[in-house]
Amino acid sequence: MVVRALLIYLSLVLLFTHQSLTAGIAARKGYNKTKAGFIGLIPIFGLIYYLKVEAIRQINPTAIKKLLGIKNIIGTLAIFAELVLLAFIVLVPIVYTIGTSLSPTSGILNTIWPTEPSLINYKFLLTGSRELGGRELTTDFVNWYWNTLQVAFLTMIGAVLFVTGTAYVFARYKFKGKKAGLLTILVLQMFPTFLSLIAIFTLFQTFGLTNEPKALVIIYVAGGIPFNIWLIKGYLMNIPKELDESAKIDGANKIQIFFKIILPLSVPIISFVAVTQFMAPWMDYILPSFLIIDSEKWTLAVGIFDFINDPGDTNYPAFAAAAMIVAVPITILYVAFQRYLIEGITAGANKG
Amino acid sequence: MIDTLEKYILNPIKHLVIGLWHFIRFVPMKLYEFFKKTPPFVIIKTLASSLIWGTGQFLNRQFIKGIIFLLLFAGILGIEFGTGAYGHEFDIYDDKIPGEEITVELSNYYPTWYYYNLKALNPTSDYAYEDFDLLHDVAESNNLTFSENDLVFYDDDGKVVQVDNVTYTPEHMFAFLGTEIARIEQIAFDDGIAAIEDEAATKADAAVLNIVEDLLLERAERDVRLNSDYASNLQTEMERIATIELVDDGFDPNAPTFDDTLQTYIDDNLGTLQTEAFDNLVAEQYDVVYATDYEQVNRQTRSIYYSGYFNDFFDELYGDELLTYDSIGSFKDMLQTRLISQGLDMDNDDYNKMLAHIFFEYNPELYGTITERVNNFYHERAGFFVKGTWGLITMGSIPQTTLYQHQKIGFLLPASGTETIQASTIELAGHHSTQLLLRGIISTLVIAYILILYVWNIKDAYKTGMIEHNTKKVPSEKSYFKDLYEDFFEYIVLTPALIIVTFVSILPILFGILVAFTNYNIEHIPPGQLIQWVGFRNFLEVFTLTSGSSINFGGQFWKVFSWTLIWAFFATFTCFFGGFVQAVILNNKRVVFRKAWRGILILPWAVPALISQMIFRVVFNDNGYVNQILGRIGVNTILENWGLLGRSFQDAGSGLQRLLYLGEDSIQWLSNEANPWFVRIFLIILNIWLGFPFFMALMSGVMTSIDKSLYEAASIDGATGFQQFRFITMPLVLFATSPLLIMTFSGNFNNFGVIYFITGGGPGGGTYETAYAGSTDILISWIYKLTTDPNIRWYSMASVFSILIFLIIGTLSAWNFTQTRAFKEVD
Repeated sequence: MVVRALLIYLSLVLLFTHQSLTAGIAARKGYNKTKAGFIGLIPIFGLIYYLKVEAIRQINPTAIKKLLGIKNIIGTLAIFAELVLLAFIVLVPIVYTIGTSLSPTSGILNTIWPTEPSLINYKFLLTGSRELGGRELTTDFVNWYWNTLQVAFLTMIGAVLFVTGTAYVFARYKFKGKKAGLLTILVLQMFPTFLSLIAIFTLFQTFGLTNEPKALVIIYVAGGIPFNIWLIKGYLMNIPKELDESAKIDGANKIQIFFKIILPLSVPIISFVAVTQFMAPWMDYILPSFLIIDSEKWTLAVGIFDFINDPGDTNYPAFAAAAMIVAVPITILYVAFQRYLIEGITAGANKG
Repeated sequence: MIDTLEKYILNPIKHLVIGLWHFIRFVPMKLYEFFKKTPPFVIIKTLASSLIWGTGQFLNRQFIKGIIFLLLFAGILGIEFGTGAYGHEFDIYDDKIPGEEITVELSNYYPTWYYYNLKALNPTSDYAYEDFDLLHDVAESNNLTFSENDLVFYDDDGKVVQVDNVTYTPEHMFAFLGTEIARIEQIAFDDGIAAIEDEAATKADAAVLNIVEDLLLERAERDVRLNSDYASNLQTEMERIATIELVDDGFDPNAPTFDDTLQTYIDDNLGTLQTEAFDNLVAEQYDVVYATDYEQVNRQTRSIYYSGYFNDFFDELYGDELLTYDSIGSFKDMLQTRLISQGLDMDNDDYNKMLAHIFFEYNPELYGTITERVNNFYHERAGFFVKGTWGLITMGSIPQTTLYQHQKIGFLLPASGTETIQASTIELAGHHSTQLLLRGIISTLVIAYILILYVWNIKDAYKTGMIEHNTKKVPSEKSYFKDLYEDFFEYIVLTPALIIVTFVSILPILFGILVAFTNYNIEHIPPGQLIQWVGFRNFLEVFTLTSGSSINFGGQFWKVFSWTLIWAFFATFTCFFGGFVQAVILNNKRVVFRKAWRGILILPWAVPALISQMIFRVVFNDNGYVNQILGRIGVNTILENWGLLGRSFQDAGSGLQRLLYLGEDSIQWLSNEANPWFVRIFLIILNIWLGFPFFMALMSGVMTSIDKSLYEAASIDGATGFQQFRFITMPLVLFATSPLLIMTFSGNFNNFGVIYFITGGGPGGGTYETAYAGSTDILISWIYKLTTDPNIRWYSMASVFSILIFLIIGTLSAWNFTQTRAFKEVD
C-alpha cells in the first residue's frame, strides 16, 4: 500500500513536471500556454511534440536549453513535489469524508472509500429514520435544516433592514454623538460573545424564548450590526458626495436621496452583507447549543456535532453525509466568490 | 511608540487634569455669570421645567411643546405607578402562595352541611354531630345568634333565619378551623403533643425493629443456603426432627430396624420435613447473625426509616385524634363528599393553599414571621424604575422560602381515587437575583435615555426663555418642529438599530460585566439562592495563585492563559508564513494551470471551518482513519520498537521520556493525557491546514498586483531571481498584509472552534483540581465550559475571564485600529 501510494505520488510529480516543461517550451515558441498545458498532460508525447514543432516567433535557443537544464528540472520537480503533496494533504480528509458519507455502516470507515458505496445515509437524513443492525435510528435532520434555513433567511432580512439606513446616516451626515456612536460600536465588537451569554439566557427565559430557534434571529441581527455598519459605511463613503448634492439641489430630501441614489449604488455591498449574514447561522454553534434544548429544534451546527459527540450514539457516516449537504453549497460559493470574500475580510480588517 | 503613548495616553491625562483644574476654578465664576446674565423669570421657567416637564414651555407660551413634554412626563410617571402596586396591602395568599383560594360557595356549604347532619335534627345520618361551636361561630360572623335549644338562627329582631341564608366566608371558616385545632390540641392532649410523640416513637421503633428483623432473617437464610455443608446440615436436621417425632410415636431409636423406619418416614414427609429443618437451621443461624450484625443493621435501618415512620405515625395519631372532633372531622367529610359527588374543582396547589391558610390561623406567630420575611416593599410594590434600581443595588434580600409546617394538618385533605391530593411543601417565591439584576440594568438604561430627554426639556425651557427675553418675541413652534425633523432625521433613522443594540448587545454585555463582581456560581443559583455583590474578589482570585475559594481558578488561569498566548502566536505565524511560502510557490512561473491548483489549495478555507474541525476530530480519533492506516502500514510497530508507543500511560515516565510518549496502542493525537504538549503542538500543526489558504490567496493576490516594471528594472540592474524576491516581493507582500496579523492573532486567541470541536479542551479537564480546564483549553473554550456545562456553572469566573480577554484583545484591536484609515474616518 505504501509503495502504491508512493508510485502514484511520484508519477503525478513527474507528470506535472513534464507538463510544466512542455508549457514552458510552448510559451517560448509562442504557442498558447493553456493548450500546451493540456497537451503536456500526455506523457512524453507532449514534450516531444513541442520540441519538434516550429517556433512561431523568434526565439533564443539558449532559453530552451536553459529550460531543459538540470537545474531547472530539479527546481520544477521540487515545486511539484511540494504542490502534489500539499494537494494530497488537503484533499485526503475531504475525499475521506465523502467516502464516509457513502459508507453503509455506522462506524468509522477504515479505507478512504467504502467497498460498497451507498446513498443510505443521505436517505436516512432526509427521511429521518433507518434500520441498522436491528435497531431503529432516527434523526431530526430535516427539522434542523428547516430551522436553520428560517433563521438564516430572517437574519439576512433583519440585518439588511437594520443596517442599511443606519450606515447611510453614519456615512453621510454629521450629527451630535456620531463619533461616540461609532466608537461604541467598535468597542461592542471586541467583547467576547460569552460575556453576554448568561444574560441572553436569562432574558430569553424571562420572555419564554428559550428553545425557540427563531428567537436567535434577534441576537444574530444585533450582533451583526456593528461590523456591517462599518462595512457598508466604508463602501458608501467611496460613492462621490457630489451625487447627493446635485440631487439635493434638484429638491430631493434625505429619504429620497437614500432610496433613489444611495441604495441602487450600494447593491453590491448590501448583497455581500446579505450573503454573509445568511451564512452565519449555518455555522454558529455556541448560541443554539446553549439556548435550545430540544433536539428537534436545534440548528444544523448543533445537530451535526451531536452525530459525533453523543457518546452513546455516534454515527460517523450520518455526520459525514450531513456535513456534505451543508458544506458543499457553501464551499462552492466560497470558491466561486473567493476574490470578493477575501477582499471583504481584508477591508473589514482595515476598517476595523 | 513613544508618540503613540503620548498621543493616546499622556495627552488625554494632561487634558483631563487641566480641565479639572479649570472646572474647579471656574465653577463659582460661571455660576455667578449665569445668574447675572439670566433674568429671574427665565430661571423660574427653567426650574419649573426641571420639576414638572413642560411647565417651563407653558410659561414660554409654547403650548404644543409643553403638552408633549408634559405627556412624556406623565407617561414616565405612569410607567412607574402602573407597573408598581403602591398602596396595595400585602396579602401573602394573593401575592405569594400559588393556587386558587377556595370559593365562598364551599365555605358556605360547610355550616349548611353540618347543620343538616346535626344529630338532633337527623338521628339516622351517617354523620351525626352534637357540637355547636361551628354554628355559634357562623352566627357570630353574621351578627346572629344560634339557639342550641331550638336549633335555629335568630337575628337581632328575634326573627328566624334559615341556615341556607347565612353566609360563611372562607376567612371565617379558616379562622374557625385554625382556632378549633389549637383548642382541641389543648383539651385532647393532656400532656401536650409529647404524649403522642412518645406513642409515635414507640410505634416507629416497632416498625423499624420489624424491618431489622426481616433483614437479619434474610441474612440468616442466605448464610444457611450458602453454607458449603448446606445439604448435609439439612439432612442431619431432618433426621433429628424425624427421630424425635418417631420416638414420640413410640418407636425405639435403638431398635435395629429403626434406620429403615426413619428413612421411610423421611421419604414420606420430605416436603414438610425440609421446610421445618430449614426453618430450624435459619432460627439457629439467626441468633448468630443477631449477635454479630444487629447493631450495624439497626443503625442503618433507623437512619433510613425511623423519621419517616415517626412522622407518619405522629400524623396519624394526631390526625386521628383531631378528626374525632365533630368540627374537624365534618370538615374533612364535607370535602370528601363534595369531591366524590361533585368532583371539587381544586388542584393540589389549591388544597395546599387552603392548608396553609388554616395553619396560619392556627399558628399566627408563624404567619407573622413568614409575612414579615416575604413582604418587601421594593420587591412587592415598587414600580419599574424604583424596583429596578433597588434590584440593581441589592440583587434581592430574600431567597425562596419553603413552607412545610402546614403539612402537619395534612390529615384534613380528602382522599381521591383518581388524582393524588397530598400535603406538600409550598415554595414562596423569593427575590430572583438574576432577573432583578437584568431588570435593574434595563431600568437604568431607560433612565439614561430619559435623562437625555430631561436635559433637553430643561435646556429648551431655558433657551426659549432667553430668546423671548432678548427679542421680546416667542419663537414659532411650527418652524421649530420643522427644524427638529430636519435635524432629527438622523436620530429617527438610528432609533431602531439603537434600540436593538441597546437591549440585545449592550444590556447583555453590561450584565456580563456586572456578573464578574458577584458570586453567581453553582453554589448560588436563583431562585433557590441569592446572589451577592462581592466587589473585586473574583479578580483578586485570579491573581492569587493558591486560591482561598473552593476551586483553584488563580493557579489554573495563568496556565490556560499562557497556553492561549502560545497557541495564538504560533497559530498565527505558522499560517501567515505558511501561506506566504505557498503563495510564492504557487506564483512560480513554472506552475501551469495556476487557477486549478489554487482552487484545490483554497479548499480548506472554503469548507466551513466547523465542518473541517469536526472531520479532524473523527479522522484523528484514537481508532480513527489515520491510526488505522498507520497500524496497517506498520508505523505503530516501528514506534513501539523505538519505545514511543506501547507503554501504558501510568508508565509514561517523566521529563524527555514523557515528552516522547505518544500513546499506548496507537498514537493518541488528541487524547494523550500523559503528554499534553504533543497534543498542543499537533493542534498548531492541524491549524495550518485550516489557516494557510486564506493567507495564500490573499498574498498571491498582492503578488500579482505588484507593478511588473519593478521586476524589469531590477533585472536590468542585474538582480538575480532570489534578489528580486528578497528585495521586492517579500517586503511588499509582508507589508501589505501585516495589518491582518493582529486581526488573525485576536481571531486565534478566541478560536473557539479549533479547540472545542477537535479536542473538546482535552485531554484531561472536567475535574475540580484543574478548575475544569483541560490541557488544550484556551480561555474562550474554558469560559464556554464554565458557562454552559450544567454541572459547572461558574458564571462569575467566566465573566471575569471574558473581561480579561476583552482588555487584552480590545487593547490590541484598538491599537491596530488607530493605525488604519478607518480611524481617521471617525473624525
